[in-house]
Amino acid sequence: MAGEPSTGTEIELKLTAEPSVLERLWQAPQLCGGQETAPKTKNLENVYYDTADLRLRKRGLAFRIRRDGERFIQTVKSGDAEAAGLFSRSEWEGPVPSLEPQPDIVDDPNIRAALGLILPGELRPVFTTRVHREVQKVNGTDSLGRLKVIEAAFDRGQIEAAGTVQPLAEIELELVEGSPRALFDLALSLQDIAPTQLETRSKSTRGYALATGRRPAWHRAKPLALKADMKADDALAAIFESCLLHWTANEAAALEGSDPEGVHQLRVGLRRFRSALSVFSELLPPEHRSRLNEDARWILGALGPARDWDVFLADLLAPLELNREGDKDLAVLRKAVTERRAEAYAQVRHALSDPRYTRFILQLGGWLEDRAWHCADLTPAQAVWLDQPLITLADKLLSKRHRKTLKLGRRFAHLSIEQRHRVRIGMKKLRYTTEFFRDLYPQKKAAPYIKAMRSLQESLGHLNDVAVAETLLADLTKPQAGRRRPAGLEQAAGKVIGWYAHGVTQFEPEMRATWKAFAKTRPFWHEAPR
Amino acid sequence: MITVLVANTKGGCGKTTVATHLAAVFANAGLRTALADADKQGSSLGWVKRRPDDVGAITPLDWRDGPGKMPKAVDRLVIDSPAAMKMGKIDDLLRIADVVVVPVLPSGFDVEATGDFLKRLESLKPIRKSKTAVAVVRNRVQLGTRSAAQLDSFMLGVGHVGVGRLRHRTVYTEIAGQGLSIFDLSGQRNEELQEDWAPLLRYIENCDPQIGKIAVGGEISL
Repeated sequence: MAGEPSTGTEIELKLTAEPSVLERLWQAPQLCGGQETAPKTKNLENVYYDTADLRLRKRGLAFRIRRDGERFIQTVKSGDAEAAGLFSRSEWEGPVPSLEPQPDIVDDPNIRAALGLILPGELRPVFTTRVHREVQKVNGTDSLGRLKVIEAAFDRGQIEAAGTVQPLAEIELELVEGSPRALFDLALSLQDIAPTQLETRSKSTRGYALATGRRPAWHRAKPLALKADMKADDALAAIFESCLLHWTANEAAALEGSDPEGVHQLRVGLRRFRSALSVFSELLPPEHRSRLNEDARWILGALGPARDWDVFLADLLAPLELNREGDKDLAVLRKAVTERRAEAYAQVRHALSDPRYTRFILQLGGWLEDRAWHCADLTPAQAVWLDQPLITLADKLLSKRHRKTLKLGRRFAHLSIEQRHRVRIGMKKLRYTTEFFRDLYPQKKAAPYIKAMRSLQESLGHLNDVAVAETLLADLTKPQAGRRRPAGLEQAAGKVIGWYAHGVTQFEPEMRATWKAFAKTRPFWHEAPR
Repeated sequence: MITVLVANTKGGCGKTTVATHLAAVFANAGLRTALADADKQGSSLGWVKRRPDDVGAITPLDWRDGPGKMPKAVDRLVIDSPAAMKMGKIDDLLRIADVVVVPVLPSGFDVEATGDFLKRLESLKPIRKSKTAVAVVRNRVQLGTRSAAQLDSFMLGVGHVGVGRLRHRTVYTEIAGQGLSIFDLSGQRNEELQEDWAPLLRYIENCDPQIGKIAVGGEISL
């Protein structure tokens, strides 16, 4: 960065905690405590610019000028949208004479193209960060003995926008040399000294949030770019990474909690992750799989009640309220459920700041970066499968899931509710498997199958409505020490359960018809021999 | 990449002027720009050929016999469409466009013909499905005249928001012969004229297919 424009990719992790906790971490032997030289200190001012219609933000860019003493450095970062990469961004950097933005000097054609047309005078300051930064180079070797150089920076200061000020304290670990695994290893070892959380939002994301006053957005999963002839190993890595990015991108929205989609999308990401573990179970060392699965199951469980109460309010209670306007018992129920929902969201916040959650993500991140499933526990047969083209594996896995589900649903009309639940869960797994692989096949061929699968899933969903209503209401009406049950609550519970239990009998013909249609639909893949 | 189709079945409404100016402003900003000419007269192609070396470079594309090959690494593609274009022909061009810019003159005949054109546009699939945006730009406007006011009420009538208005100035025709646009000229008067284009340019920039993919939205007051 010696006064010349430069382009590059940065790989970093950011840790946040109470400032006093970060102070303690900073003195840890792994960071400053173990170094011979004292950390360099700087006072930095960063002004972030955008157009009035926030086009740069919408294009996933961050445009800033940093004042470092007498020097001004203009930086354009791409991939800076909330849902973009967790750990990696590409950027252009060059010196400028003042705080006046100069989009025209960006000479990297791709970043220039990403900026698009900027009219004269259109770039204006959106927010400013002011930090006191201490920087320390951490040299050494990672857990596998490879050389590593990491730049650790401790930032303390504030973000200012639209007349509001927000405090900022984080430790940033940036990889200078070595394997990305080293970053995760270092962050993990710091967890032993004091628990921190991973900050997945960039400073610009936080600044824009402050400037626009917008609540954090939720995000869908990004489409997977899987190819039929790619190695199964590469697909595995891509799928796991996409799940991790999907759920971490929804942390902020889940913590904020005003839109049910936040917790929902976070759980979808985690559930996709768990089903990927199960779909690829034969290719992974059992010990790795069960450890990751346990952690994912734990956090999913902690997030479960919030999702359940959200669904109860929106999908189960609301339709009933529409049909029974002014029902006093239902009003009592709504109040009780709303209180439960608030408790469940407190549990969400608690779980997401639990040290176990941070460790889970750091372990998973390091495992993914290193493709650590390639270890002594991997059998030769597994190694062969990982080297196969993805399409071969997809054919095999889809055939297996398909057959399993057909078997569960045999003689569907005669199955008990319990057995149909098992069909429902089998369908869910089949659905995830097809969603991972459907892009490998011609869309025209896959569409009828996916449509039949969706219709069946939807009608089986009615079964679950009753089951969920029963469990939740049993929990809600359960006598609790020191808590008085409000009058009318049990009556309301009875009304809800009655309504949906009756609904299931109504849906019986539809359930049978959708099952029949599904069982007749031809697979869209090349069926593998048993 | 953003693909801009400049179109109106009514001739003489300033399609080539708008197309060449859009190409020039993109090229001058350092964006890799191509100008495709689908008009038999080839006026845009001629304009690019006359363009001096010291202004933003534009790649000419001869599409007079239908959409041709696309050069690699283009950030902005502007298409100048033929007058009296058959609707079947425009369908092909619409399919690749992110935004259609429709210049309209403030005369009674033009307004009427453009209204018909817009109605027909709406019946086409990409527009009906809101995949392609439409921007109506008022061209050669003389401020304060009665026809200018008529044009404003027309805009409300057809249900399209007008995106900016371009004032009538002879400089546009004077510099066309040199392969230039007002974005290649300096001076206060030209800079004022350049500002006429700002609403349209901002509108086009927001039609970037990359933009819709990220959930941010909203404007802030700076």
